[in-house]
Amino acid sequence: MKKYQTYFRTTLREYFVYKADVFLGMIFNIIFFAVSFAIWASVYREGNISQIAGFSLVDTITYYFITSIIWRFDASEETFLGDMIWNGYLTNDLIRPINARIMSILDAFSGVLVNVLLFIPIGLAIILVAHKYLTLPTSANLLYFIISLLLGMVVNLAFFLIVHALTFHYGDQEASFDLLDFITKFLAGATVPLMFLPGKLRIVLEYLPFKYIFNDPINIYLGKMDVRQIYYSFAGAIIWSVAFYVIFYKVYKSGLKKYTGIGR
Amino acid sequence: MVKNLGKYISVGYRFMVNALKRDLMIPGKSLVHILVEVVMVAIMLIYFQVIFNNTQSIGGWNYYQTISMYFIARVMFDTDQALTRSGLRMLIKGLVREGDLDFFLIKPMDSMFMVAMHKPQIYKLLTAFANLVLAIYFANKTGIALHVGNYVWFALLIVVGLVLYFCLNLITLIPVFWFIRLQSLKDIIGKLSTAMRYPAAIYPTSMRFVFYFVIPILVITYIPAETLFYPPSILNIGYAIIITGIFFVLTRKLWKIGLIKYNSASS
Repeated sequence: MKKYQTYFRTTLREYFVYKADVFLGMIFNIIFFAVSFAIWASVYREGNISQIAGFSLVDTITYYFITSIIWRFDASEETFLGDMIWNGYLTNDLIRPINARIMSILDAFSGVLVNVLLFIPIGLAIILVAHKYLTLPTSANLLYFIISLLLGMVVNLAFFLIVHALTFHYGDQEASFDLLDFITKFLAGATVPLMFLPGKLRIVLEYLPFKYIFNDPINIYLGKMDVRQIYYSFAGAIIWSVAFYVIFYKVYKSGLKKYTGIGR
Repeated sequence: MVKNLGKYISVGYRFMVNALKRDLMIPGKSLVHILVEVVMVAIMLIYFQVIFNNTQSIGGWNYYQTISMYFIARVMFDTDQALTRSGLRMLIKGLVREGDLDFFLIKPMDSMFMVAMHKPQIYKLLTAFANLVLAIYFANKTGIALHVGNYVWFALLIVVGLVLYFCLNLITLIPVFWFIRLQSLKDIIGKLSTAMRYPAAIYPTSMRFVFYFVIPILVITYIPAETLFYPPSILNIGYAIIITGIFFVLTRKLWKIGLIKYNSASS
C-alpha cells in the first residue's frame, strides 16, 4: 500500500510542475460555460418562457456550471494506458515491483485532483460573476452530490479503461476514444440536460450507465431527485462500476498475454 | 514567398499526395474520424432541435439560419484541420522542445509554411465539403432569398475567415518558443471555436466586443453567415479584410520573434 501512496504523491508532484499549463487550459474551458450561458439565456428570453421541463433559467445555468465542475473529475482524460500499450512504454511499468494497472488508475486520480484544485479559483470567479444565475443546494443534497460525483467519476473511468485495454487486442484506439468520449458525454447529459431531450430518447438513456456521470449528480445538486431515487442512483453507479471494472480486468489480463512491448 | 508561388504550390501538393497515401494505408482510422464527425453533427442537430423546441429564434436568427451557421463553422474548423492544424500542433508536441524544428529551418522554404502544411489530413477536406453543402442547403431553407452577390461575398469571406482562423491558431501556439511545456495551448482554438457557432446577438455586449475585436472569432463565421443571409455590408466586409490583414502581419512578426528565441535545444 505504501508504495502506491508514494507513487501517487510522486505523480501528483509531477502534475504540479506544469500547473501553469493546466491552469491556462482550464481558463479556456470556461468558454463552454460562457457560451452555454449565452445560448440558454437567449432561449428563455426570446422564447419568452420561464421553465423548460421543470428547469428555470437559474436551474439551467446552474446545470452548466456544475457540468464545468464535473468535467474536472473526468478521469478518462487523465488516463494514458492505451498510449502506453500502443507505443510500448507499458513495458517500463510492467517490470517495476508495482501493479501497472493500478498505476494507471492512480495516474488518473492524481490528474483529477490537480484539475480540481486548480479549478477552484476559476470556479470562484464564475460564482462571483454569475452568482445571480446560480443556486445553492441544501447541505444534505450537497453531501449526496459529492458522493454521486465520485461514483460517476468511477463509472466513467472504469468504462474508458476498457477502451484503453482494447489497444492490446485491436491496436490504437485513439479514434474510438474520441468517438466514445463524445457519445458518452452527450448520453451523460454534459451537452444538454437529459430532461430537455424528447421522451423516448430520455427513457432509453435512463437505462444506460452514463447518466451517473453528469445527469444524476447535477439533478441531486438541484434537488430534483428524492432520497429513494438518490439511493437507487448510488446502487446503479456501484453496480455499473463493478461490471465495467471486471470487464476491464478480463480484457487487460488477456491483453497482457498478447502484449509484445515492441510498440509502434 | 510570392515570387516562388509555383514552388510553394508544388510542395503543398506533394504534402497532400503524401498525406493521401498515408491515409489510404490505414483507411479504418480515417473512416472512424469521419464517423466521429457524423456523430458530432448528429448530436449537435439534436441539441439545436432541443433549443428550437423552446424558441423560434436565438439572437434573432431562426432554426435554419442557426443550423446553416453551425455548418459554416464546421467548414472553417474542418478546412483548417485538413490543411494546417496537425502541422501546427506538432510545434507543441515536440518540434520546438525536442529541436526537430531544425529540419524545417534548413530547407529553402518559408518555415511557417513548411510547419503548417507538413501534415495535412485529407479526409477532413471531405467532411469540410459535406459541411459546406449542408450549410448552403440549410441556408436555402431559411426562406430568405439568396442572390448571387450573397454567394460571391460569402465565398470571399470564407477564404478571409480561413486565413484569420489560421493566424489565431498560430498566435495561440507561438508561446511554445518561450515555455518548456504548454500542452494546454494545443486546442485553444478548438475551444474558442465553440463560440463561433452561434449568432453574435446571443452574447452580452462585452463578450461580443472581445469576439469582434480582441479575439475576432465572430469575423470568421458570423460575418460570412450574415453576408449570406442579408444584404452585404461594406463595413463588415472591409473590417473582415482589414482585421485579417492585421492579424496576418502580427502572426508573421510573432513567428519571426519566436524563431529568434528558438535555440534548437535537442541533443
